[in-house]
Amino acid sequence: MALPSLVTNFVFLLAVSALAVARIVPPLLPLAFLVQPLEVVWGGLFRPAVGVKPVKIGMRQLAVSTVFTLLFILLWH
Amino acid sequence: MVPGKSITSSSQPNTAQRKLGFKKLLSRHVALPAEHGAWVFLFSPLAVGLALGGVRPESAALATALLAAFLIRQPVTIAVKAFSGRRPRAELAPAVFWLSVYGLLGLVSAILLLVSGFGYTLWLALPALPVLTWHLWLVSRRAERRQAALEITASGVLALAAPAAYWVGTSSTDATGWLLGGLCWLQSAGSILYAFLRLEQRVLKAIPHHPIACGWRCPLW
Repeated sequence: MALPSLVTNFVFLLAVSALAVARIVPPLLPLAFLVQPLEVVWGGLFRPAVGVKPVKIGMRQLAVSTVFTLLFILLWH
Repeated sequence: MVPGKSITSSSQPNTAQRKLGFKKLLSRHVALPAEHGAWVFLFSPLAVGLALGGVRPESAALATALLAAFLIRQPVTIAVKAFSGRRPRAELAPAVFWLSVYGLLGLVSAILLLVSGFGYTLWLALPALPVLTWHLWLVSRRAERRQAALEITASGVLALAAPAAYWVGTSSTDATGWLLGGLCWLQSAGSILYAFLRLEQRVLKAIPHHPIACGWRCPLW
């Protein structure tokens, strides 16, 4: 599951970067889409969630999604 | 009538029973979704749409309609579980109660949107119907857990909150709304796949060796 998650998130980042190059989205917006792939690298390669409670996994992902949302809003302007 | 006992004593158990019954109607697990992570798939696109499109009074009606549509899934799911024998039949009453509450909230909000000229945003709710049907069909077969395709599709439906909020804020149907919804969906889909990865990792017996030491196979955990 690590590889599909890693590849998918980086593909999404590349897609948004292409949109930024084409000036369809603001140029800095890809930075917001960098948050999730970095988290996947961290959790997929360096800190697997061995024995971690699902609530803790959910709370961390909530934090990541919140950071994404705030960055998206800030970088869109 | 028993001597020494007041005439009102026979009504006290009924009062206690009524209180218990009302408390059961307000059952939290019937009112609110069990998957706490699902909230962000609604609130993130909604926040993006409101922040970038602007907030107006009709935005409150839209947000209420979205919330009602989001929450109605839980009592409907409980009702299906009760009918399929997965939950006690006694949970049907609270399920119907909350279905009615959310249904009424959704209806009032939809009417407000129609009256204020934003009824076209209600069309965005249409994709939710087949997705909800799909979910309930899986529930009836006890197969609704860890369904990545369903969750990713559902997150796409929830991402439509972004164009809805954007269009209400800008009083337009600008194509930017669709772009915002699509971008929010990308993030939601990516986060769902990652969450599935983390949940799979939980059952590992031990933390694997350092990725550099274990070579190219490490990304395949």
